[in-house]
Amino acid sequence: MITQHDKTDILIIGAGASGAAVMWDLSNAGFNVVCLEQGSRIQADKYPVNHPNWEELALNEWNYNPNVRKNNDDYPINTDNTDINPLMFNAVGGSTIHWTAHIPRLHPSDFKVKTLDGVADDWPITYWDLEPFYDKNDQMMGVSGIHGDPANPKRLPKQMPPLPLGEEGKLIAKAFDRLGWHWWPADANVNSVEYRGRKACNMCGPLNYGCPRQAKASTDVTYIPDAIKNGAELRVKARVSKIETNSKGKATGALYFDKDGKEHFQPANGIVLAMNGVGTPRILLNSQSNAHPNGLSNSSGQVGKNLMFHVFASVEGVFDNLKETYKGPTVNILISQEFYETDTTRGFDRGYILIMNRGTPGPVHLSKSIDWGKNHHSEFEKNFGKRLGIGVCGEDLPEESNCVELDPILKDSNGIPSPKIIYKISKESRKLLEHGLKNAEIILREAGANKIIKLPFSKHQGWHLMGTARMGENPKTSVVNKNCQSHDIENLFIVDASVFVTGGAVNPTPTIQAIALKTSDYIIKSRKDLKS
Amino acid sequence: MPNNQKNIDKSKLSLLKKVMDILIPQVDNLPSAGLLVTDEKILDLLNKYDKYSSSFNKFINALRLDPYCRASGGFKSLNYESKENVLKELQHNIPDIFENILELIYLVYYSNNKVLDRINWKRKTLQPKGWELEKFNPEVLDTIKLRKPFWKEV
Repeated sequence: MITQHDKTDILIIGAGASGAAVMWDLSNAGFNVVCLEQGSRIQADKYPVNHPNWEELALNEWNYNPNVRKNNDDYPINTDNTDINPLMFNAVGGSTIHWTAHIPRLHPSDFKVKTLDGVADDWPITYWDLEPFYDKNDQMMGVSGIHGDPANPKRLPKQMPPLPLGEEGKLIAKAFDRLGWHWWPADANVNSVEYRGRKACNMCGPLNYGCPRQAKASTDVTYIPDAIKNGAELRVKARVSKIETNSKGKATGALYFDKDGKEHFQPANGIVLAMNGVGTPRILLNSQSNAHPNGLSNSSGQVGKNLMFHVFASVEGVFDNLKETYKGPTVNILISQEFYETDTTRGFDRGYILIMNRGTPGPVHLSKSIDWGKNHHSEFEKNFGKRLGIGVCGEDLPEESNCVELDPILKDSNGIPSPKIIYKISKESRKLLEHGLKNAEIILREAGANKIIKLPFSKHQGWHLMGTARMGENPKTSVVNKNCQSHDIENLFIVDASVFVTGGAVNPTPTIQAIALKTSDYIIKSRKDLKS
Repeated sequence: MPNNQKNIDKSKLSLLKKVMDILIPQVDNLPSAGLLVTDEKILDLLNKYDKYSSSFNKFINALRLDPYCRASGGFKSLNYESKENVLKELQHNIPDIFENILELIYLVYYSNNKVLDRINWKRKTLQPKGWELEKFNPEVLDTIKLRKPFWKEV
């Protein structure tokens, strides 16, 4: 017995970075909006940093990896054939609960990589098309930062001053200055002063496991409360299994399971998919029918293809003159875009950013990266509170062979087929990482590190899930158009990072949210037919 | 995700504590990890997380089956250096399991108040106090601000 709900104007699937933004914008414009989120609403007192065993919680129930975390709200993912594990969080706020809130924007050149460098494809939109929506998103999320960065186009003044660099940040900044390399304080969706009723950061450290002060802008404390005030309805623990279509080729609504395993159908005039680069292709592929035998919106065969992560690795340095590098956000301190654009003399296309981090946030995290045995205690003393790191985050160009498919056996707790990830890091990406790691080491040495630790490459780095339902002008080679509207299903929209044509070398969330707001703007202005 | 109570074999737990003594030896006035920590804390984590309990069982089985240990009357009978060598070999042969065991042991050890006092870790719980938020000093930008915009126009 399937429970039928009243028809809504817009059904949004996913209440994370993008879904929350669309939910707010459309409800603000008077659309009736229902949002289905498979996760729960997390109470702030549950966040690990409130508890003395926070490192235990961070490594288990709050692990980035759903296959390690295994919470009831998660679905299993087959990662047997991937060099990088996808990481995500399923809850109201989605992965913004876990994110570091570091918000560099894509560069204008990122939208034209085919034209400039002859690789991948150009986007059907430009940086300038997105700019007003980046700015609109900044207002809602709140940016701590400072204008004048020479590596990026001019921007509006930030809402808040930058977070402090600390002694350790100044040490690294001066090293960049001496090398003549670009650096700039990181733009952060972390409050340096109170903003929109949310407190300022109190530098507790590991911001990537939820912020009970609401100093970090996760969408459960930014967009969603305002969307609910506008009248939007959020249903939690609602796991969508399939999108239904009619004989006219329109999406009619979604089937979902509630927390008790009961099935519901939510009809809608329009549907917005707002999950991530794994969750969105999973639902589209699971929505296959006689009319859509390869899955929904997949006449191009591109759904699930071109999976991109950013490639990431880091080097850490030990500084005898530092004592408490665990104070302050683990990352989100400063960024260098010296090596962002293509330079063919390096032997690879595209580029990378260098991001400073504060090394290990607690004793267990540190211990995992030093010797056990006779040297453990002396190594601990030499390293604890004295480590700084430079991370390399590099562009990962799309390849059709890197993809998300449905696993023929693995299923979630509702019996819905799970995704399988097939992904290999390319030779180009490895060259890029090698180049970046050498430069990271140069900076740390210049800053005075007395020991360098090259952290081994880890599979545990797939924070950014992009490209699996890409945007394009040609319906034969892309899934959605420049308005993020499906080429095949005219009342179906996709607003998460699945639509990215390329990923640049920056954290994707502000771009995801700008794309989401651009899409809702299009729906408000041009799709009044979806409003009852 | 925490799990229900599991039956943990006491002899396996005793062997793990001998391993802990090698992984985290005595320091200053603190005994080695196996002598310092309580069974209760280890059992708590083994009961809570499949990741640790399943690695624990596999690790102890691998240790018991290790040919050198078997030939020498078991891990406990080995001298310090031999114990260290056996563990290094297991780390090489079963890296994922060994990593989970290390994580378990560090979580137990670094939750002990005497250990935290020794390393002078003052914020056992990070919130609500946190640390001081200083103001950003823009003087640090003096050099980089001189650089002309260099983003690529398209």
